[in-house]
Amino acid sequence: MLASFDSHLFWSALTSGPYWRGALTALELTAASLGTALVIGFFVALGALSPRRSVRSASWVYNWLFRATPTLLQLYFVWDVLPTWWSGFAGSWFTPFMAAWIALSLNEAAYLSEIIRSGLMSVDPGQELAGRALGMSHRRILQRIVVPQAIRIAIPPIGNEFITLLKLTSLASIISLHELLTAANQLTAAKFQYTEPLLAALVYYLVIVSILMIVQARLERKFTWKSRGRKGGVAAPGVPVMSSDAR
Amino acid sequence: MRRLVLSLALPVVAIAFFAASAFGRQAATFKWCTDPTFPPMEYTTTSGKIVGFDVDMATALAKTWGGTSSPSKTAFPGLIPALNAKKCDAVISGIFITPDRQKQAGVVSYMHTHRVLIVKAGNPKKIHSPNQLKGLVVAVQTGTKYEEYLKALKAKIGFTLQSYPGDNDAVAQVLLGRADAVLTQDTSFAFQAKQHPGKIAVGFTFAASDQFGVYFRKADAAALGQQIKDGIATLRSNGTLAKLATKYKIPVNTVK
Repeated sequence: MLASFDSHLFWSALTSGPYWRGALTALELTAASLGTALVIGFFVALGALSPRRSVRSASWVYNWLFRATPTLLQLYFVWDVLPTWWSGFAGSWFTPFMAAWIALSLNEAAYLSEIIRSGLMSVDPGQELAGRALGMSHRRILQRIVVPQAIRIAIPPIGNEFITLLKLTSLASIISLHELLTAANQLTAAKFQYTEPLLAALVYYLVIVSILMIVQARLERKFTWKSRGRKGGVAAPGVPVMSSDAR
Repeated sequence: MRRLVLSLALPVVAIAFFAASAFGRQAATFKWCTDPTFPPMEYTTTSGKIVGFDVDMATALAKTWGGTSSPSKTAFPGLIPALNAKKCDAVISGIFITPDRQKQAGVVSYMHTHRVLIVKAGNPKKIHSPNQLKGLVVAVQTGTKYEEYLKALKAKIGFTLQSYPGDNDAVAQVLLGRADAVLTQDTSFAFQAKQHPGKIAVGFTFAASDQFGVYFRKADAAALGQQIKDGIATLRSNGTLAKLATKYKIPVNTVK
């Protein structure tokens, strides 16, 4: 296999416009879908924790519907079924990107809502009571006390979802979205080679995911407790002194 | 002298016979790759069985050397790579004979047809030439020569190009009303028009004709390649191709 490796084809694929634009489209779609899914997922998670039974059931139905059906089916549904219900969806304004954004956001929100719910539940109920004792409103308690602590718990699994979502964008090639894997497939068809076009796409995915992992590590550090986040890594000198003083 | 000839000829005949039977056994199953999204050349039934003109032709072709035929499903962009990766012995998939593909594999022609632009019935966008696609939405199967042509045309006049995994997926976009035109083959149109009567029409037929071919590995040119060449010639001369064309509502002169 390596004997017939065409390094020129590999490099020209790596630096080609379709690959570059495809990777950018994949990244844009991932970011847009994750952003939208975070908002929807947050409210679905709040709904699942609501004291009202009807709201809880609505959240449950949402999660059930979008987790029980394959992402590929959801993409086909948005692209090929919606236009038969309302012909407006066949218009040129409804781009493949938009369809993929809708399908992936709705799908991802279901998974994120469970992650956010576990984050919210990880915060000790006593903290909410303490907030109430200070006269804070429900919304303020959520904003100032619960969410900042929940984020800390939720970041690693959300990072995971970001990576999964990036790879799911490759499915959107079936609704004619020009993303990274489309570029690789077209090069395969033009050059009759699998190895070089697919390896080049693999390198792109590796690089993008590596960058995402660095961003995730930064975010995690930002939301960790200050004493652990200090530079140098050595135990903060003031702490033992303080504690012995306090004793 | 006569005995000498006989005594020499017998072993030669015997060897030839053995070689032929050995080869016949080796090529007993004629494995070929196809992308069954291009009716009526090849498509799948609701139960997933691959059927079509090419399937019947491959069966008849394998029979000319006493073999059986077995199609294997591959996405269109991967057909020639699959052949060279030895996933199959031939490619039969309503695939054009082109110079760049001929650099990769040997080929035998069996049908010549025309490209068409399929539009909505009544041609509401008045598409009577490729240049009138300007500013419209055009659907096509990915990895095909149609797509290659449309990409070049798009760079010149500008329109929205959507590429789908299958030819029938592309035609479906015209039926949905999303795409204004699909570039494909007249064989495909004949089939789709029968499936969706009164819904689609041909906006434009390209003057130049394209040839469909059976591709085989260059290394097999002397063995399987020759068998395919001879087999296609037989099927053409004994009327099998014409009969199959009639069966699939393809004009008979395309296989002459």
